[in-house]
Amino acid sequence: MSFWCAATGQPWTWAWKAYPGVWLFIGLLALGVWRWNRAAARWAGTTAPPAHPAFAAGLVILWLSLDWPIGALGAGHLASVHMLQFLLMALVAPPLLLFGPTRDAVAMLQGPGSGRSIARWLVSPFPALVQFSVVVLATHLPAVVDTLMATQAGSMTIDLLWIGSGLAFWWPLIRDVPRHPRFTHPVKIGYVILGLMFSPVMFGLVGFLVNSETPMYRVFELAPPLPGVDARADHVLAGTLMSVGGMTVAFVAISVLFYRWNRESA
Amino acid sequence: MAAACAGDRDATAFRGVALTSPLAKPSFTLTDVNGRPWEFAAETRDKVALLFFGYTHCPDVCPLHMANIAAVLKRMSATDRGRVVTVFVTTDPERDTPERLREWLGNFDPSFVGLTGTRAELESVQALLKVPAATREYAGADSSAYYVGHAAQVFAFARDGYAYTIYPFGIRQDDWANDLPRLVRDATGTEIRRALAAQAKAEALAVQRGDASPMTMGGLMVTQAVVAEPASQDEAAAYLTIHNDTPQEDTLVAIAADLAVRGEVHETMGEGEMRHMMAMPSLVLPPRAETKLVPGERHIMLLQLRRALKAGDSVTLYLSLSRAGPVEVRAPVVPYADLEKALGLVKTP
Ligand SMILES: [Cu+2]
Repeated sequence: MSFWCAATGQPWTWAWKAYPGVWLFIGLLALGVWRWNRAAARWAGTTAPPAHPAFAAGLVILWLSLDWPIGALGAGHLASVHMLQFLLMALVAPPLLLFGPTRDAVAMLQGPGSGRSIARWLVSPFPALVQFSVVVLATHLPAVVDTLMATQAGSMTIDLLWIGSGLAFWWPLIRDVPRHPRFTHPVKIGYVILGLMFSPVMFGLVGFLVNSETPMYRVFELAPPLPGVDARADHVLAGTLMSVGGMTVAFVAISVLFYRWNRESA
Repeated sequence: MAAACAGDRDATAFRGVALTSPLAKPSFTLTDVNGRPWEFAAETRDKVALLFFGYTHCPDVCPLHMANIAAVLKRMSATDRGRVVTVFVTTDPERDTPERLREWLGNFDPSFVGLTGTRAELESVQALLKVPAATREYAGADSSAYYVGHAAQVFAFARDGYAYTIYPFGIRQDDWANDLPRLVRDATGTEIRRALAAQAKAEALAVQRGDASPMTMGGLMVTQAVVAEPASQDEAAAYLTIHNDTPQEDTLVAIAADLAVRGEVHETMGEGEMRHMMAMPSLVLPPRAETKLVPGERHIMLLQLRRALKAGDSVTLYLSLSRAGPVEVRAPVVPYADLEKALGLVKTP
């Protein structure tokens, strides 16, 4: 039994496999936010509301993207499924998960302490945008992917980087940034355009995935093949997914931001 | 270091593993998928012949080699493509019927040639190429479900009838795209020999500079490589540990060294008076295990030394692994007295 999905070099089978590390991680995330909210309620002298449905949806999406079969296929078999995991972990789950902490819980971040100030700095717009671009680029470089995906610790590192980096990227769009001047709607739209819709990093990666004549990642090129799947077609699909997925999520985010801007200025 | 693992590779270098001495194209006749005799040497005259031993039920190595070769051929010009013959010799004639071979190969490229024969015929062809004969590996109680352990490298015979390079598992489309056009465009082998000689020289220089060091490749790592300072001018023993951290078995199929003409793996057999050494054709490296070559047991013999070796020298060993491909390791020459310490067999206080 494996703790976390990694590239094993074993042929793919549809026989179910357990990845207890994934369950532990999802459980700890749910528990952590629940306890954070309880602490915040005690601190504010209120009672913690039940979990936000968006947070629950985010947890389910995260779980599906990490566990068998998506997790196992994406870790060691198909570049396209690996890309689907990236979309789910960095672009889809984080904005939903960010509905988890209550207003009081976020307000707790305003307190003193170096941990809190690092957290505040990470979720402030400019650092969030920069770290997201750096993480997206680094976690898609062939040398990094081919090395890290071969071990459970390495594969977990990539997954956690995507989730953490995605949370920081989405934070200033969804939650207030404590002690930070208000991030206005037009600036938020620009942020989404630069970080997601026309992200130079994502454009570059998509270009390489779709146009390169030979498959980019060794781990997916030399994995025991699934019947009828061609390594290059798989890489082209990965590139297409990144571009279509990124655009779609950005489009939805911008639409929501426009709607709110309209409503607020009306 | 050849090929697939060098970080900063020279754009003009061959990515295949260069053979220490070129291999002449063997002559053999097997049966093609139409049931007709197929003469390898005659059918591939003046062509680049890619020869591979495999089986169609293979989950990994065979379909990957075939898919990667097919993908690269597809992008070559029709003229260049027409100069390449890909030959797949089955090592599982019971399950690989001509119909199945035709269908399976056709999925990759209908021009691929599938060959079969009797078990004895197929084994003699493998022996001609000096690869260990394929063996069945049963996964469970079901006797119809089995894997076939087989050589994982593709032999590339150039148009002049010699194989200068082989392509172990781990070779990528990018590597084929680099090497195939160069093999195809050299009718006489002159350019290939010149390029490989230059590569060998550059590698030797890198060794002298100390750039080459014990290395890992594809989950394989070689450590504690040493050569015992030999009493003889002629031969020396080398010891090392190979860590196979992959889930698959690998096989050490060949050993070469810069300062010796030949290298062999030897095994010490028998007891007392009957004690003697025997060369092993190949050495199986079990998955997730380390294989130690130590004094008194299995070890490497370097034969026909190119010069006398003294303590303080170092020898570069080139190991060919059927799955991981080429691994190069530098082994210092140590006096016999220090051997156990160098091998980590005694704990130093
Ligand atoms: Cu095979």
